[in-house]
Amino acid sequence: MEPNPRGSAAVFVAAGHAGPGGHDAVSAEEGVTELYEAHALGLIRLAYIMLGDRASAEDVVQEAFCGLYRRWPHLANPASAVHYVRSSVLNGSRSVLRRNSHSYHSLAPAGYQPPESSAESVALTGEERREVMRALRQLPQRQREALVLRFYLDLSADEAAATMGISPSSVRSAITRGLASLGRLLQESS
Amino acid sequence: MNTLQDRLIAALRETGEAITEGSVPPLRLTSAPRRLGRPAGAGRSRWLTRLAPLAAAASVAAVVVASLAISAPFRGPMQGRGPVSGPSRGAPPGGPAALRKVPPYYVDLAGWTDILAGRRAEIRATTTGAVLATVRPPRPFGVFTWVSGAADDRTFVLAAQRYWPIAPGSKGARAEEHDNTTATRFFELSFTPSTRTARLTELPIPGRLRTSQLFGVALSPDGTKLALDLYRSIQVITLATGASRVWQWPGRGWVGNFKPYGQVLSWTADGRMLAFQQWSGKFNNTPHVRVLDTTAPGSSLLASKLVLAWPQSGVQTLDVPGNTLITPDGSKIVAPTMALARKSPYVTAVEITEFSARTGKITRSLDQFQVGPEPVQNVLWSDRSGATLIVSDPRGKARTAVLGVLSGNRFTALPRAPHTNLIAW
Repeated sequence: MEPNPRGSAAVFVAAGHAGPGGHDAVSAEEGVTELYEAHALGLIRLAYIMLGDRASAEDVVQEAFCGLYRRWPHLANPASAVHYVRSSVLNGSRSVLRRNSHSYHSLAPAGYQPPESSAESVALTGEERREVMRALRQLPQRQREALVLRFYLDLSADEAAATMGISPSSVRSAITRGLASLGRLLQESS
Repeated sequence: MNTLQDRLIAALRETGEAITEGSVPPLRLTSAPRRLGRPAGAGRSRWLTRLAPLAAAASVAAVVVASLAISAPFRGPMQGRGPVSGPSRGAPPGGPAALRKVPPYYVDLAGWTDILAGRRAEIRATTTGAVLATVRPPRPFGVFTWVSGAADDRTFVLAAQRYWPIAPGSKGARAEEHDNTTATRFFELSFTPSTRTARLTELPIPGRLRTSQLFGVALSPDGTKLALDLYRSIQVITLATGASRVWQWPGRGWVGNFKPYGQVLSWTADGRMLAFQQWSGKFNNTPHVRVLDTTAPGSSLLASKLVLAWPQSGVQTLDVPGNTLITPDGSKIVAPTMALARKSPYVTAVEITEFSARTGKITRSLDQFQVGPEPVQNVLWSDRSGATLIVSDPRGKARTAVLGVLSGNRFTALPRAPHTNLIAW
């Protein structure tokens, strides 16, 4: 395998840097790979919900894990890696949205059909889902993120706060306001 | 749970389930985290092939003033590319003595969250840090990606791109396609201290060069030639004519830098010798530093002189995590070096090291720090003999990098300096 000249991570591994918890450099790669295997699906889905574009979602998650790999020697606690990478995904999604404002409008891709294996697809028609997602994307960024973290990832207010970099009370407030706005928007659209 | 929350949860789950479990792409840790869109070789040879006829065509093209977006009103003629000048008469007065030993103006790329690009180029006074003028990329370009300076302290070259590509996913260079319709272009930034005006002029660089193909630029001290690092080759373009020479690196490995920023290539004052790092193709090898005589015949980088090789047996130095600059007099190679501890607490010793360009032996060690594994030291500029340097080193809070002048192993911080290595004097 040939190193990419833009990557410093490979050099760290080669140089034998320590990872969190005193792990050696090889375990940095193993540790990040293990985390990726455990969390990539959920994080790509999270980014996809935020971005509405699969390729961009994969990019954001890939970059988040590369960032984690780069930061690995600095992580005092391996358990914090998940929080770090989740925040990175959220930050990366924000960046992509800023750069490509049009991505917002493709949050619900045309022609998307809920998978047949989905239990919810029985209860929720495609149009209803699109309506909810359309309303969701009209919310301010903080409210939208708080709702997604709370109701999709099922994070507590404390966990969502750590991910978003705000206080738990701000998360609770954003959720309350977000739900109120969402209800109002859905009412208006119906 | 009320109906609204049920609807929201269902909608989120359904949307998320568009990504199925078996469709998650593999993790690619060896890719560059920031510039993931840079392919190793795709399209490069075609581009180089096209260069020859285009160079001829471009050689007759006049330099075109592309666009201006400057904070100060645009006036006055472009500065000529003359010989290296002495101390600038327009230099801002005052400041510590050490700050007056270095060029009075520098350009940094700012206004972008990504450390590898800037939405604007700021021309700053070295002694005060004050922003004297600001230049933005002309439309349709969105960001500047590289900056390099001539020795006259007021002529710089900027590389501009339409916008910065996001990182690619499992499909490799997909992200690069975001920008594949717009070539990277080069602009000369000419600063006039007396009026605090800056002028941006597009350079007649032939061919279509995407940012993903470009790994570094270096303007010759007299401002007449531009060296481009093209990953496995170096191209030197004579700006007045568009004529170019290419030196290829045969076999494995690449030409570049440890970090994707800074001054990847460096010239001697006579504009003849060009220093560069050459990394082997093996995963765990550190670089060689070579010096190319750009006036000698030939087209292979193997003809360049091997000056330094890491790791060095019997020497603490294990790695070179930044720029390796040749001093303008050609006598030394200056580099940030680090010796890595292999046992807990994994402290890394970093320093600025000067090597003889003739023998490769260490001639001076400066600015030592014991830091964590993240290298934060770099060399950004050198005076003629390496006696005075501009470096970034980890003396900030939490070992963050601080830019300053290193003279006689005494560090003088640059006031109000930006936190970036996208910077040139």
